[in-house]
Amino acid sequence: MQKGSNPRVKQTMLKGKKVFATESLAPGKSVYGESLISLNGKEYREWVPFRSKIAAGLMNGLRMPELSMDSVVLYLGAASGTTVSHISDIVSNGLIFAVEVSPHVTYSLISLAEARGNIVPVLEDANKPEEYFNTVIASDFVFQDIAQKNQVEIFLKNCRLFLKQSGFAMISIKARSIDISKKPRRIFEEVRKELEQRFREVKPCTLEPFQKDHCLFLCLGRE
Amino acid sequence: MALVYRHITGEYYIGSQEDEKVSEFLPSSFDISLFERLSKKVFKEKDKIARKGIEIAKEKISGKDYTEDLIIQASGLIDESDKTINYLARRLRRLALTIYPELCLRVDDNKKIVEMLLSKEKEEINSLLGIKKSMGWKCQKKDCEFLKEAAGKIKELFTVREIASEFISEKEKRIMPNFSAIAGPSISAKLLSHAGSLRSLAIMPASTIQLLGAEKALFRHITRGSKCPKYGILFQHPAVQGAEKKARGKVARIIADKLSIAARIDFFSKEDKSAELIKEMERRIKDAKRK
Repeated sequence: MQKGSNPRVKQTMLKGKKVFATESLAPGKSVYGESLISLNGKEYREWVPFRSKIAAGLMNGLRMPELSMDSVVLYLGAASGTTVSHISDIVSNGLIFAVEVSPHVTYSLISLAEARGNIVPVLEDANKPEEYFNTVIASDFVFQDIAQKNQVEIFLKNCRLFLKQSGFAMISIKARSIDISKKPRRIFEEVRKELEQRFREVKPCTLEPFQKDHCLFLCLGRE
Repeated sequence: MALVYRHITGEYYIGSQEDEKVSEFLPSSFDISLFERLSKKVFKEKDKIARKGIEIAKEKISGKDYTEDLIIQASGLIDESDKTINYLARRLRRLALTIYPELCLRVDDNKKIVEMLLSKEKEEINSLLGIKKSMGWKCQKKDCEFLKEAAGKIKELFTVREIASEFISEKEKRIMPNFSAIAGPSISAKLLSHAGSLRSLAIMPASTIQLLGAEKALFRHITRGSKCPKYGILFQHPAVQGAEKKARGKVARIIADKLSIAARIDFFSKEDKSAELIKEMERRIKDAKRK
């Protein structure tokens, strides 16, 4: 999100530190214990970089293309909905398909969806897009945060089916879950090569110091 | 269950009853621009999609069988109550030491101490231990009452633990009869909780089952080249405990072998073949010990 593109994301100061914040869609409620900031009579929720990888990327200077308020987002690996809640703030008039397979975290995801009205919880395995092919529609933004060995394969499979031609995608790679014995930098290089075969442009962004051995890849221009 | 049914010709409708059977998944002929056009139409009814999506998700999440999860959580409950009992019993011993020094010194079993403090008076306890003149403080009866209260709470934890372990063995007999017959109820619950589900246990190779619970040592072996672990949770198995040190790795391997077969039988057919498997396992363990 470039500065000033979507009015629902703002960079602001909190306790003397620069933070990103999103305008709350369900004011008065903190989703995962983040602070609430009020700016010009509107309530913003702090986007905590230690909890959300996209926020960590933004803090590290990642420049994402604009997400408009009626964008469609496919989020793979939604878990209990920490990052999903912020994306739901940003695309206030759009839809988010939040795919998550593990049942015990989806309880909070479903109650989040009920409170907000633009999240569709999809309780399926992201590894098998054919299972939810009839649920998800073409998306402007595909984000994946699954710590799996074959996460790149899952990502490409989903992008091929659900990413719009004008859309962009992002994947968060956890080096430690791909191969524990290799150096993270080598893994990131391999992943980058793999992604470049399918996308015109791939921009990496490491998430130190917020997340250890993680790297975000912003992928632009699908084939 | 489908939320948005779409056909390759471009027809679509939202969340109808007939959608159980449809899945027009045709990767080879998949056309993204057609799909985009279609999605644009569907997007107009986004409120309906969101509402219906939540409904479907709720139905799906409440319709699952959570027996495996209950077993895993009950096994965790046992572990945690054991820890808590240890903490509290240690404190109780210290509390009771001045009043019942002989009892605290002679009886090692926590459960026994708790039960004696709870059910018997001071004189009774001393006569049971065969003590004529106790070193204990001659306190007021009120102080003994306080000890009784504390002992009662610890006893409740013992009861919780027992109920949980009964629950585990009962449920395991139903969903994993072979596996629990070979490994025993508490070990199989622990293995299950490490694997996550019976399905993943069934598709695991035997060598992985052998090392479940030894992940830290295994990764240390892979990354830094230290010695490879021989067993994880299986170390607690009576057959491994009973073997001499040299044969323990072999015995653990044999048990893991049979466990992996058992997990597959349990997951795919649930037929009880545990007698055969145990017989075969015992024969091989005997061989392994002889060598």
